[in-house]
Amino acid sequence: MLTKYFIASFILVSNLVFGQISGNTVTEYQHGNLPETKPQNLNTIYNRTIIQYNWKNFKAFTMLETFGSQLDRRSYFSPSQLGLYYSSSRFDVKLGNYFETIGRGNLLRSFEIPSSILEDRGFRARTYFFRDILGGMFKYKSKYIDIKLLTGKPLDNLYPPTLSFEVRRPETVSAINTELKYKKLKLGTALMLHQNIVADRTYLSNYLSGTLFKNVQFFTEFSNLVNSSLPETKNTYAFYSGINFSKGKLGGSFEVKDYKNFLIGAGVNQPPAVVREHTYRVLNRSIHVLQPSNERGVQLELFYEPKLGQTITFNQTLNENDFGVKYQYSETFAEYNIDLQNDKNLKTFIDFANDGIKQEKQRISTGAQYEFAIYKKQKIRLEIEFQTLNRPTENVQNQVYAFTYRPTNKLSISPVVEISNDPFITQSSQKYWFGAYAKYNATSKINLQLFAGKRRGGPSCNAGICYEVLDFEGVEARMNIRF
Amino acid sequence: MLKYFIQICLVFVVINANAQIIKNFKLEDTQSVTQEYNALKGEKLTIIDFWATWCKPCLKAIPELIKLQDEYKSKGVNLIGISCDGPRSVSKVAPLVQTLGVNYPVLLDFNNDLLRDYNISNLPTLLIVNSANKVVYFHEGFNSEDAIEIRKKLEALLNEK
Repeated sequence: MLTKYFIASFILVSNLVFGQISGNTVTEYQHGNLPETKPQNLNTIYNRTIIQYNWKNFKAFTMLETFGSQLDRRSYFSPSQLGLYYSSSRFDVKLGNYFETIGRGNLLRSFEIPSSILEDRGFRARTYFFRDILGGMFKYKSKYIDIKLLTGKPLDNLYPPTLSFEVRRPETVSAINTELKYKKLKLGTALMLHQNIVADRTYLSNYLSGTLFKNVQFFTEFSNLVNSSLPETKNTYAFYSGINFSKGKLGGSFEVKDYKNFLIGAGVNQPPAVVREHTYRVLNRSIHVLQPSNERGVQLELFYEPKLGQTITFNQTLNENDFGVKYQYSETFAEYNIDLQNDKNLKTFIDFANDGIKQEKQRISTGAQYEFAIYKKQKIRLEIEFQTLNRPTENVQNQVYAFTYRPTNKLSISPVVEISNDPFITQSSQKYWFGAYAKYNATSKINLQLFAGKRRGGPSCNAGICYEVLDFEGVEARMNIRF
Repeated sequence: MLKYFIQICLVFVVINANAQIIKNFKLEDTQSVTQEYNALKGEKLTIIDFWATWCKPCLKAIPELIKLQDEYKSKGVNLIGISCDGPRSVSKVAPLVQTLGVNYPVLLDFNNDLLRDYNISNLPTLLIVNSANKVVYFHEGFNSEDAIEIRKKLEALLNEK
């Protein structure tokens, strides 16, 4: 008991005298369930709190997750992260939970998707969406060379905190990564040992990046398997290269990928997908999900700004997966955005795709967003999206209609209707999802979000990571507080 | 018992929390040059904009931020953009920045270290930092009315001095 009082006093005194405490907490309450699932009036509450203490070059932090559910054995309390970091102009040291990416992620990429709370149909326990490493990292930095050493156990984020440490962190990675820097060029080399119950494997990665001219930058990385405790194929590699450029009002990027047998463990790596991530609902749900076990392709993206407030974006993606049978994916996307007079904005897009893996042909998606001001600067935004695609035995149509009313810049209310006749999700001729969102920024430190109705789930991609979101029917309230 | 103890500690923490301090950080810019916060910050105020190429409201904010930089640079206000793009979209940052004519430095927080350091959970997020490196204003999201609010806040903060 004395120890606890000591810790509490330490927090109080140390902040007053020495350092700084900050953090945030997100709490989400749900009353509802997956549609057509019993009990329909399920109550759950999730909280994630991050507390951070900074003092000079040190940072200590913890992340606590709490989940309460009426379902048996789903509730948990988990100190999910704990860390002590030191950073100076020469050295970085991280102990505990940390995030690191090597190169562009061919060998190792950890991440956290802000504001994403995930739930899996099997486990039915909600958890924040991140993949970190538990262990240690040391980095030496200088003008000409950076050297990074790291070891740790990456989180397999498919499993919630209700499961054991061994299940959630079954793998170990250890790596050394050096980067030589000369003017605007950087040459990197990384050697990584990956160990799990199946095998010990060593991977090597080399990358070169930099600026060629003022408006031309590039990045190239080649990674391969160099040693394995199993007698397995050496035809295991990941190649990624990208170049970007701009001239006047025109800019663009061109990327190439070729990945073969390069899914490391449970997915500690995440090579660049080289497929555009869309925010439009019908397109976001249709994004091609990277298959590092066998995939190659190219992507070209161009931006053009004829004048301030107007942008034209064009994207062409070609992709092939070879799983004995070759599956082609192609997508052409164009978007036009224009700021009109009197505070109006119009955004339109059109997308044409063929997706061999999903057996979707002639997938055409189009839509528009129109935003305008009404009485006393109140804003209205109208969104319409439509998608049609052909599968071998059917034609599928998806529609989205959203209306957003913003009486002030602190409050928005947004009813949304989605309609689909996709036989994968409905047996009837059409299925409807009616829902409404409200968002209120109470202060700069507190914001509240409310959802009521039926929400369509499915594949979703955010910040470069794709995952599955469950359908939901009921009421959901979320509160974010910064402190 | 442990839960109650942690809750009591949380109360202490919230009571004690105070404005965040921006520590000097180093990140690469879109021209592959390592830049340092202390060298980029404004004499009086610094606006830090956390954004990403895939984030629509972030892109909507950029023309307004360009105007702010034009207007307030001579008054001791500097702007810094922090791109939070990861491997999937980082190659689009430089051409987009150059095409849109961004007139302030844009740094690449590729590993999202700064995002976590400053507890940013939504994009875009805009911070205004004073000359003592203290975060004096924090704003999430962006719509055209926000530009007016940010401008008012800047004026108020500049007049405080």
